Amino acid sequence: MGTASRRTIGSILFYLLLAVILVYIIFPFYWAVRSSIAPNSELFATPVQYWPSHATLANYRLVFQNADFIDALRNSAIVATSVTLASLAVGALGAYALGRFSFRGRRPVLYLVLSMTMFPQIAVLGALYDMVNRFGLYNRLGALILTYLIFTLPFTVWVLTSFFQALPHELEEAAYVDGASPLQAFYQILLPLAAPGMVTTGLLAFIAAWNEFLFALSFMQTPDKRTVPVAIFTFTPATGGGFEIPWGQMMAATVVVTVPLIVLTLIFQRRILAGLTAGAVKG
Amino acid sequence: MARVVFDHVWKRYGNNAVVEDLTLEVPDGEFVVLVGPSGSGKSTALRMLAGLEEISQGNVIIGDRVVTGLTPKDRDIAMVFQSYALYPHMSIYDNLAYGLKLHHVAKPDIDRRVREAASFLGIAELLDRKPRQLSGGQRQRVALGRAIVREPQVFLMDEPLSNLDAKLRVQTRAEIIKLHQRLGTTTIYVTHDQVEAMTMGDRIAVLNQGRLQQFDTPDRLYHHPVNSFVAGFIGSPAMNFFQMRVQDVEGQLKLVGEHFSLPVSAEDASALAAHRDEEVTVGIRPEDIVDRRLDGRLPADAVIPVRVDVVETLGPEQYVYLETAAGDTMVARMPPDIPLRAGNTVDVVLPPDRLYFFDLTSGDAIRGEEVESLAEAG
Repeated sequence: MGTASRRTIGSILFYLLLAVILVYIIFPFYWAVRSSIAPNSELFATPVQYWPSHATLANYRLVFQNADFIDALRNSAIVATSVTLASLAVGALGAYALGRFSFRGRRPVLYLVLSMTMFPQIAVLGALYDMVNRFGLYNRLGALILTYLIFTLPFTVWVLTSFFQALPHELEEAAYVDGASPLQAFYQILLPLAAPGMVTTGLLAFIAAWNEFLFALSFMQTPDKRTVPVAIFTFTPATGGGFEIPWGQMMAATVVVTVPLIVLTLIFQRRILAGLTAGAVKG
Repeated sequence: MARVVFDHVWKRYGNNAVVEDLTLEVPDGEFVVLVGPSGSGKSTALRMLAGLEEISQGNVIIGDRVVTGLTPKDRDIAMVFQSYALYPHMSIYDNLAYGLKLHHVAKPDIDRRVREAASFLGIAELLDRKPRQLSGGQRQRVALGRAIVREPQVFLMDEPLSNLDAKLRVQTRAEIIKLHQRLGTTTIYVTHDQVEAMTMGDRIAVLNQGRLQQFDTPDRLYHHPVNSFVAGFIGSPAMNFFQMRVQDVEGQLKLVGEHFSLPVSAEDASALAAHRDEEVTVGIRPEDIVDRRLDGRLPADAVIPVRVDVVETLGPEQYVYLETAAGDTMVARMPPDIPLRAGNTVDVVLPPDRLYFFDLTSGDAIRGEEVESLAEAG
């Protein structure tokens, strides 16, 4: 076989593989969009309709008329934003210490942080439930904000630590010689340079908090305190104003809930790439 | 503008002393170079002066203040780093202005000082750019500018030219000298390059393994090295060293080596007499080794037949690598018009009045004249 034809076959296979992966990843979302604008009769029709014949926005209208869902959107926004800000604030300071200073116990702390990124949430659920009750946070958004930090802080600290480590020491030293206090050097010099890392971890923290289901289900009781994943989960036939599970509305709600995340990611996509490759900063 | 004093400064890491008992006084306005090989402690000494490194023992004085224990920002110094250390996310203007802003200098003053420094360094058109858009040489000038605008008492420079290519290095060297001539600020400059040291310093402090070897003018360092380390470090190509025995031969002191002997000049005889029947290190600079054909008046007993190994032509001169029959090697700097090729044999002369002598074990210079001890040189 000549190299030319071998290369063509190679690239054909490559693009084939790419297509398979893309379809696998995008299909669920496409299906959700399709289902959300399809009239109920066409949802489960066979043969499969890949695009509804009469697209309708009725589901979206119903979803936005649902007061509980609007509440859930608000709750999710509050929780996710607060968690992100708290993670970044605490995480950046922690990462600064872990990445720039050497002190006794630094290694163990780092490994502890790393191990916590792998911790299964279900394992800590019981203990956290107890804690939430003791702090009087049951059925209050504060419970979620506090408990979400368990999984957002570890990877925030881990990623940002490597970021701060990569920053040249001479930058700080130049700032000190110029007259900066350690806090000023941190705020004005190091933090701006760790921005790619902050964007990445901030976005990941936001997404994690936004999508979180288990804690939200366990620690919130009343509908007005629910976050979006739980709210969608509890769409009952009654919500649909009928006698069947309102799949159309759930799909519409899902799309509504996913779109902000996609938009945020698209906006920051270049910064994320830099963040993921643990940006090397040139002095 | 102020004097700088190192007063018995030590830097230890555990039991390891990286800087040993450094005592040095730099008068106001002088340009002093700290030079030495890697690991000599020169950068550590500079950083202790800057306040970036803790001082294990001793004191550092800037002006009339003891600054030991003060943070860098309280020492009134400015530093130029080897890697420039410009703030990547700020414009050049903001880079230059940063220190002044931190010191609460009035805005119009900041603007004036920044623009003055920028035009002096030829970077005025770059003020709106970011560091990543500049070339290495431009970045280095910004780093210099950042130090200049602060108008500190002392400039500290840590191998600022090491990251530049050869041509740029020579250019920037001259600019730094001009800068010093114009501003007159006391400057402590660290480098491992003895050429930089010799060309830039009013006085040079040679360090080796944490210890100050000699603190002197370039000229005195070159012609009156205090030990074999300084003799071998200053000057390029380095001084040639041979191990020879001081012996009485027919009533006269001679230096006897494995394959050749050298006469001893009258001035050196008295100093060497104390080392009779001992081995000493004999040194001669490459430019002092002469082709016998060039000067017939040279003493015949100082002639050594050698074989040419390698010839490096540089244009204005050539470096000739020679080898004696016994295997001693030496480098000679010769005029360019002497035709020499590898494999040639040639007679060279090592004039006795050009020889340096050093104690074999301690490396200290053996000299007839009075030698300024290290304790008084600082």
